[in-house]
Amino acid sequence: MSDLVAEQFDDLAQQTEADTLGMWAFLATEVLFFGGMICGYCVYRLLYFTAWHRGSLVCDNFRWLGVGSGGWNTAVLLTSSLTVAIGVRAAQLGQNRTLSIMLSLTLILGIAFLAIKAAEYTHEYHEGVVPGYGVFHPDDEISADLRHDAAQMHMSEVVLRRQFQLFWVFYFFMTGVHALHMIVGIGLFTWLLIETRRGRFTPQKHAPVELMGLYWHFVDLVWIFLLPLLYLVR
Amino acid sequence: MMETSKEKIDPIGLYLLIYFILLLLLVATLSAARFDLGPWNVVVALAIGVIKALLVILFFMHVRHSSRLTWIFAGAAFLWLSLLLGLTLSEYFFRSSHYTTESTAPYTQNVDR
Amino acid sequence: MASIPYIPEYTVETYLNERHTVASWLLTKDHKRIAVLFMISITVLFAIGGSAAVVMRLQLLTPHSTLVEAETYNKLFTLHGVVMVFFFLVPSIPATLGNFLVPLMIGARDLAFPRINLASWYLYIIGSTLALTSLILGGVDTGWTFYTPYSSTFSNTHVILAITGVFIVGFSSIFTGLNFIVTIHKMRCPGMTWFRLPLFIWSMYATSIIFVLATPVLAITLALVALERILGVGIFDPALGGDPILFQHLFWFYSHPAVYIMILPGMGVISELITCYSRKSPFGYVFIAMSSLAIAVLGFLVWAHHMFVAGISIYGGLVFSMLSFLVAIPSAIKVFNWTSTLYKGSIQLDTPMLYALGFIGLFTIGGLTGLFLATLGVDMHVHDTYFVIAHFHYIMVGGAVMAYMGGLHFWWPKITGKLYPEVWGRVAAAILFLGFNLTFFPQFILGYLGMPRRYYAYAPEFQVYNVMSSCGASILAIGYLLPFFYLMWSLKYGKAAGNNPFKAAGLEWTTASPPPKHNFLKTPIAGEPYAYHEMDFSDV
Repeated sequence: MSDLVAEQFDDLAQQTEADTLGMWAFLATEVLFFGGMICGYCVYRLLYFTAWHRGSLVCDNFRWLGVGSGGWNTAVLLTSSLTVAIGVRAAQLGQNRTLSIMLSLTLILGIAFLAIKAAEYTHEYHEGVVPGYGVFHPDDEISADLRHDAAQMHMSEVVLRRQFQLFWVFYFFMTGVHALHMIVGIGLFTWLLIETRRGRFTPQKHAPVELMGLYWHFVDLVWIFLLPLLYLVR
Repeated sequence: MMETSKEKIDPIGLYLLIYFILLLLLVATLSAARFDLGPWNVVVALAIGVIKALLVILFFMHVRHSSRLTWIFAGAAFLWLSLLLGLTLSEYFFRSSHYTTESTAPYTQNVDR
Repeated sequence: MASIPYIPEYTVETYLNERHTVASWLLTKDHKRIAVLFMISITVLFAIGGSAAVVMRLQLLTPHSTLVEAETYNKLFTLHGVVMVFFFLVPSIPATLGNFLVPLMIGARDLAFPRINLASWYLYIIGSTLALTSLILGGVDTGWTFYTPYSSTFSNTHVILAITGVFIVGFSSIFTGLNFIVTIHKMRCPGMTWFRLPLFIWSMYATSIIFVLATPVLAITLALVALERILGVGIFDPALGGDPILFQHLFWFYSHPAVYIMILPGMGVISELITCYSRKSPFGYVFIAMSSLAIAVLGFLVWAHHMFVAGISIYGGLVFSMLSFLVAIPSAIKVFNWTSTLYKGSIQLDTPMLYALGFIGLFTIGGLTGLFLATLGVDMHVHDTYFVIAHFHYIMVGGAVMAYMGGLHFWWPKITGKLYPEVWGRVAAAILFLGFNLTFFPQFILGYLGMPRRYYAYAPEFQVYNVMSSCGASILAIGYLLPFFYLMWSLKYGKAAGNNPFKAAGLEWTTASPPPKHNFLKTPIAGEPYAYHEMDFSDV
């Protein structure tokens, strides 16, 4: 029982409040972390709207059953937020079996998200839009579209291609950093699942489930904004 | 079934309801993107995004039940983000070539040539 | 199992002697030990950053010195800036005095997250090791500001290594800030309401807000620069379609609040010193507390004043100029309140007080010259000259470092249980003050006369001021070395301090010097702060 409350705290309530506040403070730093990327993204979205419009069209062209990969990924993540919320509720009520199932579902959905992302990245690699000096060579169809856009805007094609490449830099960077956070989340939830199977969580002591849940919801939140910004703004 | 005195536990039905609203909003945002609404496309997409975010924050992240301090922490983060975006973007918006000669005009005018 | 020899005069168990193994220090969760670990680390980094400055000042003794080449000079000022800003000033007071004192001052047993505190130190060590590795491998020549496209495209030095070091130490800061915020909210002892908190705690709280909200933006910005170097694309390179101004916006969004990270803790220290050595409670406690928060918030709204000549919107320039004037107001309120605290106080000119008084004067000069720089017309003239260098050194060295020295001396007995030799303390403070002014006042003149910064050579008419500055720097160096020696001396030979050698108010002085591992034998109950009017000074 003595390991329930860490020695710097007076009681469990203080520890739980401090842990929750700490997680929210950490999430605040994450908002600013992604926010810096989003600021750069917004500036270039405004400056290079033609090239970036083309970028959004291309990244939304990886479709299955008529819905783009961005839409599928959002659906997967929203579902995972549901399973997390139900799981946290189960932890609050001491329903370990439900919690276990919810955590497993969340993990499956998280891995599904990464799988869709991997397929999407592979598709984009084959389209030649992975950025980098000497690496970036959009395929014929995209190049034709770019030429058309450049002619319409009375712009140099070389300049438009550079702006187009910049879209992909931000696309891969933002989704890549997000994916890293997902991987960390999957690691954390794996640990949560193991601890749940060991019966470590009770209605009194389940703070890690709530805290990791907050983290997972945050990662979902970021994606909720990345979806329109990257895929849907035209 | 012990709850700590502060914890309010939402019914599963509520979570399912919020989830379905989120899915509806997802369908809405994907559909809206198919139509050309000009500059309103951005507004619609971001507005739907904000509503989805608020639903996740308030209901799934339990901010609805949380202390004022949590509201302040969450709010401060987004407020600061809006400061970063707002002041930076307005600096770009309010550039004027009125005070500069052609050669020192904001470089963006040069890049597209 | 390795042991550290312990100083044999503690007969009572304290945080220093409760265990002696290396592991007990390197795996400690005690905020006091972590503070000592930080103290050692930042002293080492300070010495490295200071050595770079020594070579620079030697180079600048003559107009066309051949002591170092131009490229080497670039690497020197970059090293000096990177080390001093990211590895000394930003962590200094928060990670040392803050870590040690925050739990003690609020009556807690430790910080909210002790293991995160230890992680913060390890991140500092890893970050500084990477940065120093980039130095050993030949250095970086971009300036501590890493302006693009030079840093992202053209520089042939180890930029990515240095950037990674700064990125990692940024997370060290974030963890510290997070810890302090939660601790101050949730772990105050009974009776310790917000308006009974020591002013040092208010300033640590304000600093932590900046840590948490500003540092992540720097992290992502530096990551983008690294990405640009690796991929060879044009995120910030105009030739490839990038915008260098975007880099500056993102960089200064952190780096301007960062300067408030550097000065706010110092202001908190000064509030404690002025009150103790005037034997008075602070004049306008609420104003001083609120002005700390105001500085933290307003400090986020002024960053583009570093970009006035970069080509930003003129309307943006006007707005940022006005906001920069506004942010001076809370600082001025503090100076007025400190001065009013001194009025009719019983002034003791002990070593920490000498540093505090020096701070008030030098910070005022530094702050006022900041207003000159915030004025668009003047800035056109003095931007990127030695005027700017003098301005920020007055605040950073004349302000923050003197506050650190004052605080170090004031709380040295609490941290180590030993008294330093007071006479040497006063001598060193005077030498520091003299050396500082001789080093940096001529730089105001140099800047106004037009000498640019970051130049390894200069026009001959600037020589006399450069010589003054370099002479001052040697005196300044003595001013730093002296305390190092007598403080180390005091560890072995200093007199035992007792709980409250300076008759100061504050919960930290109610416990032993050095404190026991869990700070207090019994949880204290807080009363009114700064209760100097209730103390008996008749035996002094």
